Amino acid sequence: MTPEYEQMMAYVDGELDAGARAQFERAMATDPVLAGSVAAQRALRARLLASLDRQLTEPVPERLLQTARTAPAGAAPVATLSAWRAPARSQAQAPRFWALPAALAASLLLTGVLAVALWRTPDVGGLALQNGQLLARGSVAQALSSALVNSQPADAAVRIGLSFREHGGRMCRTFLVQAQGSAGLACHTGSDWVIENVAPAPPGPGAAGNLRTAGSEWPAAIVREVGQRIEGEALDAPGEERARAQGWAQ
Amino acid sequence: MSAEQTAELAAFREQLVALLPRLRRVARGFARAAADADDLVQLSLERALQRWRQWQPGTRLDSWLFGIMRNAWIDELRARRRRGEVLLAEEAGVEITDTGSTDALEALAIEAALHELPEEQRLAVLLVLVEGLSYKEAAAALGVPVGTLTSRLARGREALATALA
Repeated sequence: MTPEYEQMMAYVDGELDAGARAQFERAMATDPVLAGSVAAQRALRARLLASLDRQLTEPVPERLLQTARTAPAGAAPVATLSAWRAPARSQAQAPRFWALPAALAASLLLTGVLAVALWRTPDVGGLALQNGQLLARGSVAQALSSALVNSQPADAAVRIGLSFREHGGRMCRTFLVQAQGSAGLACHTGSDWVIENVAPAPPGPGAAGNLRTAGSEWPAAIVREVGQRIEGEALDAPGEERARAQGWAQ
Repeated sequence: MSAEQTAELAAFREQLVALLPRLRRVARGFARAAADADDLVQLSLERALQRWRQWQPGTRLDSWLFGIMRNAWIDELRARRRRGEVLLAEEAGVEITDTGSTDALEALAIEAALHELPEEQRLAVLLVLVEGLSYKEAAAALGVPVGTLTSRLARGREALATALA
């Protein structure tokens, strides 16, 4: 793109300030080719609008109106346990191979899902084994320590679902590694995040083109684990910020 | 929720309703199949409502929503790749009731030309030329620097002008 073309485009799109605009118009007055380019660009835009504005008069499907008027709104949609649990219930009919004894499940998962998923992709996350514990490292640890549920980007590689205090006093958080289809629960211990459970987070069962099931959902195993460990309610947004400010200390 | 917040939320919802025709139009720039486009609008509405407090009143709600829509679309493409799915085939042409009219032929030509563009150019053209966003707003919605946006816009314009000449 030449500087001249860029300038002409910015003029047509109303992106020039008053000085540059006046200068451009003086140049245009003595340059019929330039004036012709401007006219052609305006005509193209007018054509696009004339045609595409017709789409604006099409009737809007009722379900979209309903969603705009009634879909849940909130500053903290996932900060209450009941709200957070709701989507996982729909998975009740999914295969429940994670309903294994916890120890067996943990060992399977350790060598399986999480190990493969996270180690295979060094830029997504990491983990370390230490004294028989699985510790979060890399971007998983980073997200656990710093992300806030309500301000994380929609396309974060590691998403946080819920933060809470467990019966023993530790602060715990659930996390989802979208690209790897893995969800887990980690609790802050000393200066580390100990991964207490992890489960496959399969995409929903919807058909192709059904965006509503596109995101990974929270596996029942993780939801159940939260239910067993949680003391009181999940943290709301201010509570989460306070916990982060205190370094997730007990 | 306080009475004030309730009123703010009701106003926010009404603004969403008013934007629906334009959201659907932009969604067709991402998802070419009409069913996909409306699903994308629905998902964008849900996400916008979940984080409605993050929208800064006084800034453009439309460009904020277009940014949410872009992220939702990226998530969708990722999820489909993971599931090994392909995109729904585009429906055959636009629905035309009076095929003889020049307006309908013109609409067909324009949609075809737009769909020939690479997605990044198509979205730059749609957001700036059709939806009237500034370069800065469009660049923010698409998550790219302004320079990238303007070069996509220039290439998209040239390709359209050639196709529609």
